[in-house]
Amino acid sequence: MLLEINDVRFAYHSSDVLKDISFKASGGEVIGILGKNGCGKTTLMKCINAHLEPHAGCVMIDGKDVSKTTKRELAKTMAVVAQHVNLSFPFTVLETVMMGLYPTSEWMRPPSDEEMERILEAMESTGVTDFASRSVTELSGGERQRVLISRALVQDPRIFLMDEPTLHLDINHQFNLMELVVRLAREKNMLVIVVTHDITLAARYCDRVLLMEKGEIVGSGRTEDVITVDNLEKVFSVRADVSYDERICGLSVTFLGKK
Amino acid sequence: MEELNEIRKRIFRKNLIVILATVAVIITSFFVAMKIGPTQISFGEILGLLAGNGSAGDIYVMRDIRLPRILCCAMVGAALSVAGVAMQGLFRNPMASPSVLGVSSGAAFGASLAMGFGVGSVLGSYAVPMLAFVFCFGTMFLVYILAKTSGGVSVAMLLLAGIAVGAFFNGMVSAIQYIADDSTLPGIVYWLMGSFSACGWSSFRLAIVPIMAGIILIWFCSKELNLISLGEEQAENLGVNVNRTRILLLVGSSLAVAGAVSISGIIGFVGLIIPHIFRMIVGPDHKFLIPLSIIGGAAFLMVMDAVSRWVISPNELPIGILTALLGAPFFIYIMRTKRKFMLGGD
Repeated sequence: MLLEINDVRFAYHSSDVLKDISFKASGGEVIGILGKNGCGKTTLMKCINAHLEPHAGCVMIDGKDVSKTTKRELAKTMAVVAQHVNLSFPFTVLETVMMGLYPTSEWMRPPSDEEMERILEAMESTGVTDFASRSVTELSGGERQRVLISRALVQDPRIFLMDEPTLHLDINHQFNLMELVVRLAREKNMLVIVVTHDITLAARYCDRVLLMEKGEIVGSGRTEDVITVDNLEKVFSVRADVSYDERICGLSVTFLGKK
Repeated sequence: MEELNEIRKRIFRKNLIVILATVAVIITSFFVAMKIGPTQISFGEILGLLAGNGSAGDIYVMRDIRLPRILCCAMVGAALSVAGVAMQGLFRNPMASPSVLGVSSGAAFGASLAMGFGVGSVLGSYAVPMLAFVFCFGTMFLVYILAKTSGGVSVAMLLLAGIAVGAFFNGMVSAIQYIADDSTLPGIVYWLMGSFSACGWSSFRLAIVPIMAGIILIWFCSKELNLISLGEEQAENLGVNVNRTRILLLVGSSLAVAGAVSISGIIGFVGLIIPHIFRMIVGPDHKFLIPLSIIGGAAFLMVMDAVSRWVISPNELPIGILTALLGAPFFIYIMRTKRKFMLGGD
C-alpha cells in the first residue's frame, strides 16, 4: 500500500482537530477530501506531508513512517501544492519551476538534459512555458498557481498533495488542471490527493472521496457513494441535486440552496 | 527545450558579465586604496613595492601598513554583506541584518567591557577582538534559545528576541560609556564608530578564520537559501531540512560578523546596501547573489576606507560615519525608486 493513515490524532492546544483518522490509498487514484471550513482537511494534509507530527497514530508511505523519513527523501516521493504560498522574491518562472529539482540536486551541479526535459514537460502541461522568463511576482494568482503545480510536477512524485488547487484558476484552467491530475494518476500510477471546497469538480474527477466533519471522517468510499443528497445536507447543510450525467460521464451536482 | 536553455544561458551570460565587472571594480578599488595615504606612491610603483622592489620605508608602508589594512577592509566588507544576504533570505525580510538580531550590539558590549574596564586584559591586544567575538556568539545563542519554543523557532520570535536582546546590550554599552573614565571613553566611542586605523597583519590573522568559515557555511547553503526565501513550509515541502539550514546560516552569519566587528568595530549599512544592489541587478538567486555580495562588499569597504583616509587628510574619518552618511540616503533612494525589487510583488 502506497499510503496508510493509521488512527491519526492531532490537537491544537487542547482541542482535537483530527480524531482517529484512518484510510489507505494506492497509486493511480484521485482522492478528494471534502468538508466545511475548519473540519481539519488542511491539518490532515500537513500530517500526511510530515509538516505536523500527529499526537497519536502514524502516516506511512510504502510501510515507512513519514516522521522518520528525511525531508529530502520525502520530497522525492511526495509533492505538495499548498493553499497559501509566498512568492515575494522576484525569481523568474523558470527558476521557480527548477526549484522542484532540489530533492535530487547536488551543490553547484547544473541540471542534466533529462532534468531539463522534465522541466519542459511540466511547464508545457501547465501552460507556463510562454512566460518562463517573467518574474513570479508579476503573475496573476492563477498563473502563479500553475507555476507552483509545474514545480511540484518537476519533483516527479508518486504522491501529489494539493490544497485548494483550483482556488485562483478560471473555469478553463480548472478543467485543464483536473484533467492533468487524472492523466498523471492513470499514466504514472500517481496517487493524487486533492483537498477542496469545489464539490462539483470533486464529484466529476475524483475516484474516491473522504468527507470530513469536526475532525472525523463521516463518509469514505467511491465518489458516487459519498457525494449524495443526504451527506451534503448533513455535512454542509445545503440542498442539492446529485445525478449521473452521461454528457460528462460523471456525477453532476446542482446546489438548490440552504437547508 | 531550446527556448528554456536559451533563457538559462541568457541569465548566466548576464550574471557572468556582472561578476566580471565587479571583479574589475575590486581590482581598481585595490589599487586606488593602496595609492591613497600620506606617503605618495604612483600606481606604477605599487606592484613593484609589493614585490619588494624599492626603498625599505616604502616597502614597509605598502606591505605592513596599507596591504593588511586593505585586506581587512575587503574581508570585513565581504563578511558583513554576505551575512546580510543570509539574514535577508532566512527571515524573508529585506530589512534583516546582523544588527536586527542584536548580534552587533552583543559584540559592541564585549568590546566596551574590554576597553572600559580592562576585562580580559591578560589577552593583551587580543582582549577587544576576543571579547567582541565571544559576546557576538553568546548573543546569537541567547537569541536563539529565547526564540525557541516547543514548536521550533519561528522567524517572528527570532526577530523579537533579537530586538529585545539588542536593546538590552545597547543599554549596557551606554551604561559603560557613562561610567567609563575620560582616558578610556574616547577609545570606546571611536571603536563604536568603526575604523580600520588599527588593522594590521595581526588583525587579519585574527579575523580570517571565522570570516572564511562563515562565508563558506553561508555559500554552502545557497540552494537552500533560495527555497527558504520563499517560505519555510514551501522549503520543507521541497525537501530542505529547515532547522539544520537555519542553524548553519545563523552560525555562519555570526562567525562572519564576529570576525568583522572584532577588528573593525561597528560598521553599518554594508549588509543592507550591497545585497540590495546586487539583488536588483542579478535577481534573488543566491548562487550569484552570494559571490557578488562577497566581491561587492569587499570593494565597497576598500573604497570607503580610502575615502575616510583622504577626505580630512592627514586625519581619518571613522568609516562607520562615512558608510552611514552615504549609505542611508542611497538606501532611501533605492527604497523609494525600486520598491518592487526590495519588497517583491506581494
